[in-house]
Amino acid sequence: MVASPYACEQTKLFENLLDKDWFAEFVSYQYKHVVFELEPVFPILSDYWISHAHYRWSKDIALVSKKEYEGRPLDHFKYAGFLCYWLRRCPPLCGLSTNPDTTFAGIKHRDPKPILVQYGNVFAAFDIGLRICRYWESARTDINYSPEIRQKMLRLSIPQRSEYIEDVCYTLAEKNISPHSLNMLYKSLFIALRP
Amino acid sequence: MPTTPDRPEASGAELLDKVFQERPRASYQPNGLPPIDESIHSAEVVESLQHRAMQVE
Repeated sequence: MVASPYACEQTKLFENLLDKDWFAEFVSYQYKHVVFELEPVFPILSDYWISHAHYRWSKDIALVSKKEYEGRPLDHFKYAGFLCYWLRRCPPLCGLSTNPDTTFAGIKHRDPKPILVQYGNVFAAFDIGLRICRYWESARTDINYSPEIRQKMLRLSIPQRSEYIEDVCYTLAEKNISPHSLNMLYKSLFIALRP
Repeated sequence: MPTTPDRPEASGAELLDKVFQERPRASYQPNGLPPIDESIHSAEVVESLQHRAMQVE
């Protein structure tokens, strides 16, 4: 496997995301090649909504930095919370087509994951934010995490058949949830692992 | 004998303004973006994680 330039796990992620074109490529890569990886369906994305999500996200980031952080960069949970929020409000996913990639012959003979068909956009939005948080939290140097805990955080995933996944998707899709709530939600997944 | 207030009563909006002006500023200062060291994790491990974090059937 070759690391993608549009992976969540990189030190310049937040700087890069401020660039409109990079943001669009990142979202496209994440939806098409990570969240819908090995699915018989393939996401159709809206350039308009991706552009809008970038505009709203970058505007909010600048505002919150000025008002709450005295001009400093937000922490990774807040960045991820705002990103998830705006990908949810400006949904890039506007349809599904058949996956043209026939590399894996079994793909086209099985059904797509129901939760990705029903809640694909919010699932992707939350999943991207979660992967950003787990990388940044596990690699931060200002907290003296043990190597074992860092590995545990980096590999944090939500298991199959989890009520949590359905709750998150339903709540994001059907209810109001603020970027600040998402910030706290992400943070609460990791806080118990602090020394 | 009832006393007469020496100044007119403040309106609700004025009182609210006064409360907020006199309230001490929150001392909460959020932490900014923490420093990270990308060498903490090997490139191979990071590359192997390019999948959904939420597992679905």
